[in-house]
Amino acid sequence: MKKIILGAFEEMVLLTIGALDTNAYGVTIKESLEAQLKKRISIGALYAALQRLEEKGWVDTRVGGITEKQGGRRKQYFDITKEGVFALYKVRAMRNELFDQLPERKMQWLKG
Amino acid sequence: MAQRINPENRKNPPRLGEWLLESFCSYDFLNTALWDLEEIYQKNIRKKGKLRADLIYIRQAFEVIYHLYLKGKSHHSSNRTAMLNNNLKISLRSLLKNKSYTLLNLLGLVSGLVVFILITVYTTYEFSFDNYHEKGDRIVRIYKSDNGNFYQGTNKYAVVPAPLAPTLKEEFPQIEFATRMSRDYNTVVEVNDQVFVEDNVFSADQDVFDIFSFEYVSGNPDTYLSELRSAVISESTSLKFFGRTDVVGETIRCWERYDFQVSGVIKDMPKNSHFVIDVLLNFEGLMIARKRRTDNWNNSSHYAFVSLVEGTDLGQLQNRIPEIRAKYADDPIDEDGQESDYYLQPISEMHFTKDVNFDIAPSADAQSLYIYIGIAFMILTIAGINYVNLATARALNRTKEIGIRKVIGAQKSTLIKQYLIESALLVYVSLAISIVVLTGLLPAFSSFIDKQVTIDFQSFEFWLSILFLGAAMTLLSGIYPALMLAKFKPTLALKGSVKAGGKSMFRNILVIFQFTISCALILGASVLANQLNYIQNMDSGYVRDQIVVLDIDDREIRAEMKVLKEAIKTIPGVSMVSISNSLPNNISSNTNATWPGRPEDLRIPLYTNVVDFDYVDLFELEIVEGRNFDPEIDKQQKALLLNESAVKALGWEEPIGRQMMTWFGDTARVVGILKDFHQHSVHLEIEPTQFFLREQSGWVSVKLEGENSDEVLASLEAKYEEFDPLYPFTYYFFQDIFDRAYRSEMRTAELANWFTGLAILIACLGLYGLAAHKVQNRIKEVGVRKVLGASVSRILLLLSKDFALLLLIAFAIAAPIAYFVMDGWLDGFAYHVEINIMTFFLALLAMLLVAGLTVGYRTYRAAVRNPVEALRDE
Repeated sequence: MKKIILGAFEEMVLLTIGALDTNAYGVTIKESLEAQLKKRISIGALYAALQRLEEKGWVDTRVGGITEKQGGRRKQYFDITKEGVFALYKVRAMRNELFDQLPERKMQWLKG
Repeated sequence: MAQRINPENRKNPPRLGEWLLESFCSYDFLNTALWDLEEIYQKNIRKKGKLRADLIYIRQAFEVIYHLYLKGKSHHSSNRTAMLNNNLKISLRSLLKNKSYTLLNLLGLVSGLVVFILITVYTTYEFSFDNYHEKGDRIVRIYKSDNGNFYQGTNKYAVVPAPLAPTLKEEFPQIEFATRMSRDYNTVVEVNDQVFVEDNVFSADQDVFDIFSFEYVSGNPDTYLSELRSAVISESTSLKFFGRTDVVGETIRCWERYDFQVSGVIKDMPKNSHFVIDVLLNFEGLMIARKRRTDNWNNSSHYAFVSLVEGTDLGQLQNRIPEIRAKYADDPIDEDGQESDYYLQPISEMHFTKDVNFDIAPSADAQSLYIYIGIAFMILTIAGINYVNLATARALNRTKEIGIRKVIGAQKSTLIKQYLIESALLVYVSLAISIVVLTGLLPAFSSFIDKQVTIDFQSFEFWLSILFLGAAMTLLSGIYPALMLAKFKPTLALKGSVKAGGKSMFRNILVIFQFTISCALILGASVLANQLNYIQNMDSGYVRDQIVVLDIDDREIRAEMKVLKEAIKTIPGVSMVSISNSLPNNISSNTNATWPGRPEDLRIPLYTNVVDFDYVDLFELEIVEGRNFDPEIDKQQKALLLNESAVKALGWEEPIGRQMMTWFGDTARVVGILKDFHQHSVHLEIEPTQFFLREQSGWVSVKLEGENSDEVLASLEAKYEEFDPLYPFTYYFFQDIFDRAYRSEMRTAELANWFTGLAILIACLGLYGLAAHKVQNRIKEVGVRKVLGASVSRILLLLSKDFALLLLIAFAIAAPIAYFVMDGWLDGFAYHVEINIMTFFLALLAMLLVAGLTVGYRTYRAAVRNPVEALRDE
């Protein structure tokens, strides 16, 4: 099986795309990420992450319908792929496993 | 959901941004980027306006390109990017191959750009004064002009009657808010047990907060000045006074007797404010405390600011101002028989208005700013010309390269692009170096001009303007060489028969232009230096060295000045002490002369100083008739001195013994006539002046003898402290106070010297490059001449005489321009040097010498070479 390498920012992007379901494109991804992270995100950095995700095969692109035109431009959507969801799942599982190994003594702090 | 944009009110994103994306964005994201950026753009237009939206679009375009190119993987990198890469590589190689040429260009460009950016940043700062107020374009300051009442060369005054502002607001619906204001320097403020001396103590009406934009720290801004004894202080002042900012309700005591309650704290006003408020008292409250009337149209000693209702025509309102005079000032002619006119002035002009007396804060000198801007452009032009000259001169060495490119199929436009990219590379590398240099230079420059000038490296606007500056420089200096190179016919180019020096006419004109600028600068700087030298060494009519002065503001000490004077006299190293109302370089009080038998309507203003018996001797003023005050004969307040101008103005045939009313309510007799001296800066004429005799004023002048002035100063302080003063001990050297009047000119002169040096340096770099090129082209000719017996000096002459001619032409153009401009500048001084032929001659000589050395060095090396080396390969 291929090794899964997913940076923190990429993971956020991928999750957001998944959550936006069929309406994930540049502006919506940027805005919901900014709302989540509460900071400004450079659109360029977002594209670089999308490019890497696309290369790994975790997102697909889809050109928007005929009505969605803006000065002759076509809109490009991003969809999470099956492999993408799988990667997210693996990453989360791994993290959960590590988290569960935290000693009980330290978990107490959360309740305090 | 996707946003539907109505095509009719769609605004197009900036072409530059779209072009950037289309040219450089990697293909797989081009569509995405174009769509997203446009959607964000349309949102921003509504939220932030067109300009901000445009800027954001361009910034985001850069971000996208940057991230995809450097951090992502640019897959289908466009043809343009590939060409750009190739061109950059070729340019870099060509620049590295000709190291000395590149170095010459870099040096020139960097120096030019550093000066240009520095001056731009500084002048932008100066011109940004008071532009941060929300109502900036509607705020108006009112000044008056008095018919015939001239003071220090102008009849305009920033001070107006106290009732003016409230009356204007009442009468004209166009006026929204109005405030009276006053300012006090050197004010003692007592807070609990501590004493502070404050220079920025103002008073105003509540409306002040509706006119100017302040930021609030604590208290309720709507009622800041609603109580008679309320005071607002700035944040830093609050920290200084109390060590904290939640100080509403605390008490401060001003002028040792008036208590005010702090009702609020405001953020410190920005540095680019004409006046900066530290303490702001209630105007009405202060006037009542000081027992002054606020309804007196005959007393002008306060400032007035108003804000206009949006859309008000300032000119129309101005025309109606005389109605006020007719209606309220029942006696429009004031006590001194002066008729006043009131003028509305937008505050954007306030900071640069030099000819208004008693302004609320010192104004800036717009003239020297324009001089700086002019110099900045000239230096940048010289640097640009260098590039054009060097590039065209060198072009001939590249004809083969161009020929090959054309044969292989390069189009003209491709070649032009390639050479433009080469210029761009050079320009942007220079810009990068310049910015590094600037960061090092800025603190030194700030302390030199005594203002906090900073560059906001975070601001996108700064980088965008740098980018544009680079683009402009690239186009202006690169387009001609690029066009010229691309024009070569390939066959001729390859055969090598493109004539060397064919286009030298154009280059010559550019060289002349460069040297015209350099010559003009050198001439301007010399005249400037001459005039300042003249001021420094002129006979002002009084001595200035070895004199220390104290300004006594303490009320208790003021009451016993004679005791203080006697105490200071006992200090060893002090030869003389004098008490006076003014120092001889700035006699500021002005009174209409009154004497028994004066015709009713005859008004002769005299500048008035109140001095003691030792004043004339201490400052070594000259008596031309009669005698000095004499403690044996003259009683206090009963004797008077006039200067020659006063005698002339009064028209008195035999002035000695005549009577004159004094400020103290009695008459005094004229005992002597003073020789005219410069009682103001040399910008102004010498005016009629009188000296009253009284030993009770605020300035103490101490004449020192011997070398150990530090010891004397220490004893001075000790003596002063014995009086248990409220104010701390401060002293000045009289020479420094004298110099202060010319600080702006001195600064301009020093900067002008630096800039002139730089301009000449840059021009010489270019000249050196051209000489090198010329020598190279004629190396065979030189070889042949030497073989046939020409001497080294003949060859030197042969190669240099063209340049000398160019320089002479440049000088002939520059001299009249410089003469005209500097003559105008000198007219600003009532007393000035005449422009001297010698100055011009010396400047020409200096230029010839510098240029001669530059060209001579290069040509000498060629002339002494063994001709065999030049001739052996063919």
